[in-house]
Amino acid sequence: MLNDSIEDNGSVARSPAHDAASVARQQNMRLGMALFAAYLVLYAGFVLASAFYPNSMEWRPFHGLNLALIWGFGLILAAILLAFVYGIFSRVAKPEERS
Amino acid sequence: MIYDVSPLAVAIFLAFVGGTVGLSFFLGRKANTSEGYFAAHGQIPWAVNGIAFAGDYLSAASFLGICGMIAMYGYDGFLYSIGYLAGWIVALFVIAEPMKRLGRFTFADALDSKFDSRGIKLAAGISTLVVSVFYLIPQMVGAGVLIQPLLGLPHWAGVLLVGATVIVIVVTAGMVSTTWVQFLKGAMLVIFSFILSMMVLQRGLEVGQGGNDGHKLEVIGPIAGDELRGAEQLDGRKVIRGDDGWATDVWVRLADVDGDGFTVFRIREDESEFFLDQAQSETRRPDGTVLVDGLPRGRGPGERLMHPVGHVSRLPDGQTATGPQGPLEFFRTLQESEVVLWGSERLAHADGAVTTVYYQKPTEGSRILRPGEHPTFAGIRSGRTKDRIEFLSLMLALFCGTASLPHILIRYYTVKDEAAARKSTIVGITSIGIFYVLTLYLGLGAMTSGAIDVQDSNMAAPLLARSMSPLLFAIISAIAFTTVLGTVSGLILASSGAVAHDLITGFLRIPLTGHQQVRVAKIAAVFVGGIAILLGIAFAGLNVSFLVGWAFSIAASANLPALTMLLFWKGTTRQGIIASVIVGMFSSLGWILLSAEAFTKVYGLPAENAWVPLTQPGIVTIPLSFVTLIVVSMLTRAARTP
Repeated sequence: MLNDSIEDNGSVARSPAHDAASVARQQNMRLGMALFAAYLVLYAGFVLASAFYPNSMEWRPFHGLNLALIWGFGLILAAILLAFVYGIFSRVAKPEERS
Repeated sequence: MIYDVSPLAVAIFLAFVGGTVGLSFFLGRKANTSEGYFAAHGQIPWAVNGIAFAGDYLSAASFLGICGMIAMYGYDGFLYSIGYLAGWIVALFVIAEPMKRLGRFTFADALDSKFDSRGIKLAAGISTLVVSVFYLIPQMVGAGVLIQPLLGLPHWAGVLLVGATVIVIVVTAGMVSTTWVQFLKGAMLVIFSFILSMMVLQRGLEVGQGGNDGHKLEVIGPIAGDELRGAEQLDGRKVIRGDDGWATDVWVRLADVDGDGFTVFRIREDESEFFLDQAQSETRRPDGTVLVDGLPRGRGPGERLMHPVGHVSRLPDGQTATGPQGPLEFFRTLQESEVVLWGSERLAHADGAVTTVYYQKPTEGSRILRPGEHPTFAGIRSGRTKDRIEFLSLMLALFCGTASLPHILIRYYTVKDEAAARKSTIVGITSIGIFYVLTLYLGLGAMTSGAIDVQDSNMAAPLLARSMSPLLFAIISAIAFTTVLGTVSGLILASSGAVAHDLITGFLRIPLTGHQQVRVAKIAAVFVGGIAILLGIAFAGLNVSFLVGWAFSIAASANLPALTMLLFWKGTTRQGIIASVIVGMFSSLGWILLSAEAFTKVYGLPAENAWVPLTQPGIVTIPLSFVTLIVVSMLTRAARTP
């Protein structure tokens, strides 16, 4: 067909190398989902607490900083931290390594 | 306010624009093929791509809008920072790698990877265009807002300048030059925000009596209640009688000793004694002239300007200045202080003129550093369930919207493989996260800088820089302008890809060679750029941040359900995807156009006439789009396997 028709990059050929790549992919996905769930709990907690118990955000549990600051900064730092955890522990499925 | 045009700012700005356009021409020869034009040959190093994500994503709304909102209301602006960054978690863990694996040039490629369906290409192409245009409007309006103080040009000239520059960038070298422009802009934005934040901490907090033009806001009092009523003279000045829109139990106007001007005060009652706090007013008359506290606006004799504002009225333990502050100490000090924020009220006069009065609102630091001061978020303290759902809906749209924005999604095709897509997302999250942490320092720094323009919150960050040094003002303004360039070029590129690749070759099945496709894309880029210029001029004066919220809601409702279900549910069918994209797009778009916010801010109609209960559609339309996909998929599958 046309020179820019869509190639099915997603198909998995039946070679052991490709199987290794898809195993790595599945492991990454599982790790990603676990980290995603952890972040989702943090984020949903913050949003729900702000919406339904806004006064709790004035509580100062740590070093005189209120909960809004701690949780808000915490969410940003957690995103960076989880991204690094994922980067370090995810498996590489590069084409070079398939051979 | 009226701003001086600084030659330094103009020079730096022109150097920036000249540099980016020059770079585009230099890189242009590499981008003649469709791979080069749409995806930079997949050859962009992941680290560069990661910073370019920041350049793509940190739009004028992020930089100017969030800083301005924090400067005016405190923590509430930071809620956007939190929500915008949270969206990247979806991008990294759910979208990044499959997007790279399944697609080639556009978002529609990935969605259509299993089916090769013209319907999917059509639906995804249209949704890319709709989201891009909605996202383009606030960027272009922002460009016009910036150009006025920076170069002294009118709004339309700013919009035209941005539009023309971006069209040149996109047409000369497509994704290659767009990426490098975004890389440079992203890096400079984070670096200079960091420098500015350090300067805010170094400067510390200081008790003041007004803005940095040296004017001390007047306080008159205490006055006994019966003395205030019916007084002919106060403080040696004549009280202006007759209300004509000025409610006399709220405002007192004292005539200037010489001339037609006056000083307006807001009455404050304190333990049955009365004080008068100076306010500022601007009157727009039907003939288009503008008066500031009764005198024509301007710098000349017999003219007057609004005073810049933003001061701390009380520091803890009776201090007058704190000196340099640590990053956490800054918040602790502010929590125990009192800052003067500004409210505003509109008064209508008999002759058709409208006055806006800006008055002081001394606010405890503990209130500034918690959510719920801004009108958008004040609902969470109202106790009304509807307002709380509104808040949840916005935070959901921010969370789901990022990973569905077309100009972010196409950036996954510029790197060579999934690992590079992942790594560049991690770099992106880190740099964007650092920037969002800094927004709180920049915003609160601006709030207490004495440099704020009460009428234009979007200028808070550049004005903060100006209160530090003219050079920094020039650089920050130029970066803010490049911010618009970077984001707009990404959006126009995404749109041109949608037209050339999804609609013309994908949906219409018109065979084009790679070169022809690039040519069509370039024509589309010029066309979309032209539309963006017209819309940017037409929507001048509209608040930019809520338009961005709309784009996020539409992107999240139209794109995210289809993309995630395709990845995680084997039962997804072609018809399910098409239905989900169309239902998500039209339900969120229709909802927004029928909401109270559109009624008041776009059509100028009363909010009560709105047809839908909430302004933020996400909490209804995102699940609706998911449900549509599941139901349609199940029906069409059942039909196929009898």
